[in-house]
Amino acid sequence: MSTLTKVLIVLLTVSSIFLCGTVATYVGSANNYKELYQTANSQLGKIKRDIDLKNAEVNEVKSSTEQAKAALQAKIGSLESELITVKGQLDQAENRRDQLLNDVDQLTSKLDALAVTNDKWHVMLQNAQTELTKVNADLTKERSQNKEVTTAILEKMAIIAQLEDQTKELNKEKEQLQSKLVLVLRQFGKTVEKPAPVTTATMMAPAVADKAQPRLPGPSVEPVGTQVKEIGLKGVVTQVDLKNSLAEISIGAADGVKEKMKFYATRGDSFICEILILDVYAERAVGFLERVQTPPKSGDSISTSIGS
Amino acid sequence: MSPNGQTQGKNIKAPDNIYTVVLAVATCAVVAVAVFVVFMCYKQYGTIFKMP
Repeated sequence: MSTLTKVLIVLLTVSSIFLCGTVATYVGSANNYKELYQTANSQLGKIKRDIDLKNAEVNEVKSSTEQAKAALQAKIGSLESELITVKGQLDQAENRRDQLLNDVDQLTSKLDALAVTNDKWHVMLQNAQTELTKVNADLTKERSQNKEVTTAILEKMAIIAQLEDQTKELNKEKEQLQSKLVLVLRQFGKTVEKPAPVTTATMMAPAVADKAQPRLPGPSVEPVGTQVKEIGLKGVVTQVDLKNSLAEISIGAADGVKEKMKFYATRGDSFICEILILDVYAERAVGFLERVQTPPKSGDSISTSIGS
Repeated sequence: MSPNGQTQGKNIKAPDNIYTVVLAVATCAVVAVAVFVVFMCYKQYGTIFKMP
């Protein structure tokens, strides 16, 4: 084998080993571009998804912003109209304020005048208060006296009530006695005449009565005592029933005849009999014959009293 | 490059077989590098000659 061949073999070997080392080093230290690509691709997808989400959020925010903008524009419109009205009211209020300031000036001047007047009234009020204290003291005294008078009046009213009860009882007894007296006197052809009262407190004229003094309740003045008067009825006998001792007379209830009234029958100057009335009619009456001296007959005169 | 030349010359001369070994080593290195390159290509891109 020639030397050149040997040299070429060695050079070929050295160069191949160097080249192999260089290639192995390059390949071992080369980047994995596929993995880098996948990583970058995945990051790109993630970024795209994030972009989509952000776009959706941006759209939502945009729509909400537009709605808010529309609402705010409407609100701005209403506020502008309110502002116009408020400006009008402000102008009115300013005018009113000016008027009120003028009124305040006028009232201030009046207030000064009133203060002077108030001082005068204050002095007068103090005088009136001193007089009022005096009047209150007098009033207290009069009230105490009034209480005493009231108690006395109550006591007297109690006494008056007792006297009224007694008066009522006495009136009842009087009426009973008068009815008995009427019955007794009627038998003798007489009746009771009520005399006119001497004085009546209740019949006083209102103009005469003193209005300043109150009228106290008390017993009314009743007529005291009774007077007896003749009835004075006269008539004639119209029918006679001697069997039953009955007679009919020509006067009745219209003339004042009442039951148990007694009539005297006369003929001229002679007494005939007594007639005790049993039944009374309007214009006639029937009675029982008593103390018959002579049998009566039609036409005999009758009266409630003899000799009248 | 014959064994007779080594015995007859004064200078020490390598036998011819050593150059064969050198060539074998160089060939093995080239083959190993090629295998390594193929392995790395398959590992990273999933193919040997095509573009991914």
